[in-house]
Amino acid sequence: MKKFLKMALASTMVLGVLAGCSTSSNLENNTPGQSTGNTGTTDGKVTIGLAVSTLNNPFFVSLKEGAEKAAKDAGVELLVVDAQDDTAKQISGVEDLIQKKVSVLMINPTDSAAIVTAVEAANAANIPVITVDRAAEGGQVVSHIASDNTAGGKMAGDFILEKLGGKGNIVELQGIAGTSAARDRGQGFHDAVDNKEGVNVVASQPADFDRAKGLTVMENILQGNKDIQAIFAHNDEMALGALQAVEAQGKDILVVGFDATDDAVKSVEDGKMAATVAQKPAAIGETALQTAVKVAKGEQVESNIPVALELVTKK
Amino acid sequence: MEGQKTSLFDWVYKYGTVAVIALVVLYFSLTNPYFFTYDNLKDILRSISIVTFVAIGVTFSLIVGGFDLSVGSTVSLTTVTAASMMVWYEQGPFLTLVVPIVLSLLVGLVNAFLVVKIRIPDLLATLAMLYIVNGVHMTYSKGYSIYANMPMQDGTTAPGKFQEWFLWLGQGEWFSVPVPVILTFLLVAITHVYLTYTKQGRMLYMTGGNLEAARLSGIPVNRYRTLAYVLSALFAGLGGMLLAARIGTGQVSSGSSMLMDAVAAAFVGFSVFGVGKPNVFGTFVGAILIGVLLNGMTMLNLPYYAYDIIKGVVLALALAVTYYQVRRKRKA
Repeated sequence: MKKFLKMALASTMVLGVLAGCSTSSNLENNTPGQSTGNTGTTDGKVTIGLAVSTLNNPFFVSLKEGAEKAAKDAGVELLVVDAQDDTAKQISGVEDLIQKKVSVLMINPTDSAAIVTAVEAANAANIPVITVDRAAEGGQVVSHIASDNTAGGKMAGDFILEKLGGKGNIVELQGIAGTSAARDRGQGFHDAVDNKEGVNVVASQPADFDRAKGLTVMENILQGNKDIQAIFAHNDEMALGALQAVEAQGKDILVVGFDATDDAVKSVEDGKMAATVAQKPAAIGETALQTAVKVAKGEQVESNIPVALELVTKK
Repeated sequence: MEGQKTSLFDWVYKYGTVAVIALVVLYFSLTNPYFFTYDNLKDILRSISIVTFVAIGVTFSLIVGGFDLSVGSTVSLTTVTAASMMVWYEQGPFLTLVVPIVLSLLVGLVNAFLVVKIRIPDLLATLAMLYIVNGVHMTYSKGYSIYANMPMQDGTTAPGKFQEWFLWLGQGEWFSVPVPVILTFLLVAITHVYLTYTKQGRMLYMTGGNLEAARLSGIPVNRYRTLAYVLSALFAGLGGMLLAARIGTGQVSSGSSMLMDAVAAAFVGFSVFGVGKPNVFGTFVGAILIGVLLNGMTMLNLPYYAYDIIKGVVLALALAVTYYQVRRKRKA
């Protein structure tokens, strides 16, 4: 029994490493009727690689679908790898795309700092890199296509202040630490609400852009703080989880999300969520793909291409 | 003096975990007036209900001297299949409950086949199953979470939605007690009675205690090991369905974090009341300790990364006490 327990514990520890270092990259060809065997150079056809952080989030599903639509319209091949929010998996996925000699690489990083090695690997292979929705903190990137997350966070903060009449207690649910999206949205939100008399951010807790964590974290916060007027979540998944916690307690709290996923927009229309910042993920994906095609053809592109934001509220 | 030291250690060994829970509850109650309230205790129990289901599954595999690493991916599998039955296929209660349960039983049977018949070491066999089941549910869901009004591959939106009866299982209350908490208490009570007071339960412990001795005394050890793996997968599967009911979506990656918490709860449970072996009541107490720590630390606005450190320390201490006692018994 003792020997077995030692082995069991050791294996459990090792498991985390095994899961994190999995080299499977879920390489899939997302253009119907085309083989993944084509590389960017063999038949003169443009091949674009898209490394997406996770397809477990409706926002990134929409982003991918926008890119697919644009790829179909442009007659180019799109290869997609899903990192499932795992940095190691994303790096190996990008390496797979580099081996396939894609014409241009579009990366939506799981972690802005950790992705630098992958960007540099693409640079070394002379493959142009475009970052999508989240920036990379190093390496050469020809263009960054995203909404202005800081402006979006400020938009959400201003909306909350307006609705609360300039006073109240607010909870902030943060995204994955290390992502530019979480940092920038948080920055914009704090630019709006910090140093405002009568306004307090009573709790800032990470819930990793995840609905289940958003629910659990918010339940615990609501138990500890009975006087909360508003919640700002760095994405809609966390906002919807938080909303569930709020509804379960029968409270009337303003919930504002970010991304305008289908689920969140419906919640806003139903009068449950107060608002969500619409990032237009499909437009981001589409713009990124169109930019990638231009880069592949040797055209000059802007180093920063913003995609318009809007606040979705009940009509 | 030596005798005093021994009796103090015996007390720590028997009641240490419960004492830690009491101290933690006392500390959080003093630092936050809302901690020790019915509403909050209800929330803590609700939040640990799913982990408890999974941890009891792990406990069964530990009892027979095995170890099931595939419980996390089984949680994800049943979360996704239960959600898809309602959202994609608009099925009623029968298939929504039966399909995930059958799939989890199938996972348990394959685990048992690999471990018992093929004789692959349990850790390796269940690790392989972890990857297989992960791949299966990801392929099935195409990597997407499943929720009402989700866009489908053909451009339409999903026809179904989560049904009220199903959501009630994860979110409802009965006489102001959350349904998941009632289900957890029932599961703990039934499995505790089964393992402690029935012939089959004792046979499971004997199988894990000494496989060869159990075989020689006429116990059909392979049958009991198979039963343990099937029950392990079944409880993980039920936990997955409960998770889908709780959050109202089929989250594809939801089970990955469950494994570690379930294992932690099961191992902390070894030291509860000095049992020194896997046991359901201890596992439940371990899950409570983990839930209390997370809840209290969130209330204090400490980021949950810090909670991982505390959880690790608690686990290490519980195991240190257990192993020290095992060594002492051996010397005596």
